[in-house]
Amino acid sequence: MNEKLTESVIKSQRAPLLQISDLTIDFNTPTGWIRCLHGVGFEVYPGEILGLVGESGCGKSITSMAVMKLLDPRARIGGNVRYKNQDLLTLDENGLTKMRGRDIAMIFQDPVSSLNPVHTIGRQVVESIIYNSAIPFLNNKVMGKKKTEMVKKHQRVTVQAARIEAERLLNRVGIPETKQCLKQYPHELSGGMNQRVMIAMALAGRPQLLIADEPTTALDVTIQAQILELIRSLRNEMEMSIILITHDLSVVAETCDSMAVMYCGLIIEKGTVEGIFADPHHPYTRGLLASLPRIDRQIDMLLPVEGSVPAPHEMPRGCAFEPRCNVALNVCKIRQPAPTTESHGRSISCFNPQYGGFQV
Amino acid sequence: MSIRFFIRKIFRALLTICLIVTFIFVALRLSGDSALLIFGPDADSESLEILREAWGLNKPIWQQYVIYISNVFHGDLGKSYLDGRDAVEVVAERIPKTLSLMWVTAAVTLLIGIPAGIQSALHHNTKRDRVTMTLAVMGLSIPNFFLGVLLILLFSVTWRVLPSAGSDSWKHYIMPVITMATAEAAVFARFTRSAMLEILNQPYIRTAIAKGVPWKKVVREHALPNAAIPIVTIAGFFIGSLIVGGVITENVFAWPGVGRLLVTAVANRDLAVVQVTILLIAVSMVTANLIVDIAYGWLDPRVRDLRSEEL
Ligand SMILES: Nc1ncnc2c1ncn2[C@@H]1O[C@H](COP(=O)(O)OP(=O)(O)OP(=O)(O)O)[C@@H](O)[C@H]1O
Ligand code: SF4
Ligand SMILES: [Mg+2]
Repeated sequence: MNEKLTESVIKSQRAPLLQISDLTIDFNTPTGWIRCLHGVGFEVYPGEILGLVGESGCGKSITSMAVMKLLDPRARIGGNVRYKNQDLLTLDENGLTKMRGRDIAMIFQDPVSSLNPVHTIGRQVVESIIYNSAIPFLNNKVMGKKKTEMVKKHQRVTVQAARIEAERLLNRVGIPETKQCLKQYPHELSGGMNQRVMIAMALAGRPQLLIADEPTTALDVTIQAQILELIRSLRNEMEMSIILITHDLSVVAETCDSMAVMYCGLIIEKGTVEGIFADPHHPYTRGLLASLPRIDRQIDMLLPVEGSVPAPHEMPRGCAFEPRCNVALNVCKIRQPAPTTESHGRSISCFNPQYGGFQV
Repeated sequence: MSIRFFIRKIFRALLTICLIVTFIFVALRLSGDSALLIFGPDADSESLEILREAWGLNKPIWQQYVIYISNVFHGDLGKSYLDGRDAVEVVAERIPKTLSLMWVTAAVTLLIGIPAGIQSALHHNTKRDRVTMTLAVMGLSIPNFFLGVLLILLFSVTWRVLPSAGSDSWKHYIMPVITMATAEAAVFARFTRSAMLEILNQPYIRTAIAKGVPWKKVVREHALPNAAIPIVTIAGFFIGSLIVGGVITENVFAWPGVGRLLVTAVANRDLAVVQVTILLIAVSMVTANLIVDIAYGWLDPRVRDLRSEEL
């Protein structure tokens, strides 16, 4: 535990791989523009797994989709997303296509519907390899351009190479019958197998950052553990950073190095997993952790704290958590707390943070 | 796909055809005395009797039906009352004209309707989308015969630039094709648009984008082929409505095809010809739907597997 802690302290002295600041997202709804993200900021350091936790609807998915620019084009995104000092929000279509899959890859909650039902697994993995490989693959089918005989011959070779690579990737993510799997369709595989395929596709471009949006929520418990184990081992092997979005605090405790807690489109507390689990400072985080019976037991974060989340269009003027907070001050009603940074990269947005006296 | 699935589908198709043929047989015979209608109200009873005798119309209806069915199975579909030729021959010589009109209409429909729908979906909620959909609603709400008559009034009567009847030159095709294709293209544009929008909202499209597949390729490799699956399913309806629209249009423009034959044959109580025509229509529609059904399973591996599992 201590070793892990110092490790992440060392990491935090390096330059962040991904740096998000003041990220805001507004959606155009029939009743006008609605702000769903109110200035989110966090960093992901090389090689770390960051857990992004929060109740349903707090904005975890839209945050990650904003990083990949996967949101509906009608959504308005503000703020800054920097990947290795490159501003992702101002990238053009071409730059985005290059970035996606190669620098940052993503896997999703429902692996079965996230794969094209009418393409074989092989075709989809090969596609990922062809679009993300450094070698200029020139598959006729995929690239769709006129080719000379020589180039055609070359294509067949490279498609062959892509198939071999696909098999290697499927093998790496723990799929036993890779040859057969390549020929199968997503509906012929289990949810866990499909998620492994999704991970294999994500690895094709050797990305430095993997965003996993609730990758195990749709799977049953034993499979969940296997997939998380796979993700952890890949991080070590490929020196990848991971943003793991989840509802499940026990997943965070087991898998992540650092964590960021979201509430109503804001990050209210972030820091190392050890630090926060040992002594959460924000009243909301304290509520969440207090309701966690034991670290090794899975709990669902639905309503862990009394009261309910305000809807995006009726956000309180002051602190978003004020209606549910039992240590609220007068100022909380009128002003929004700004994030304050403490040691070990811990940051809290609260006028009245609590210290100590917390037993897990 | 399993053999049993095929057999079941084909059996159902045959049953559908039998039901249609029976229904038409009974309806034609119950809706008036054919002999009287052919000879007119002042015919003498003796000649009426001779006619009924000659065509077997004096027998009870079930007997007529049994005879008809057994004749059908012997390849005899009856003779035209008007000129005594084989009804099949009378209908068959009209088929090429009808088919050529249908081909051209189908091509125009698909070439306009599908790209318009795709463009609308890809530019969802933009001006282009709204203009296309407004045009489609307008196209849908004009009845065939009204559009046909309107075109004749404008282009044949007022401006005298296009022929209003016949089928001899390419000029004769213009108005009938516009008449039929307007509503069909509108249906296709709307359906294609909604099929595309549905597909574009699927999680696997998001996956493809996240993988770094360029948008054009996402559309071409993932969205279009998948949207084609529901579009293929309406091809059956399409052929049906081409046939129905064809009957109306052929009559508006005096197009010498099967549709016009059907209307004159009904008016003349030419029972055998009507029955052959209806049989032809039924067989084409049922076959079209059978092909669509099979193609559907072939295009979508989920359906393919479902079928071989449950049957
Ligand atoms: N296209 C959209 N238009 C309008 N509002 C949207 C849209 N997409 C998301 N939202 C809103 O943004 C907020 C955050 O959604 P998001 O999907 O990020 O939540 P989440 O934290 O991922 O929840 P879950 O745990 O259920 O996945 C929600 O309140 C949602 O209603
Ligand atoms: S800012 Fe005030 S209301 Fe908000 S969590 Fe802190 S103490 Fe509670
Ligand atoms: Mg989500």
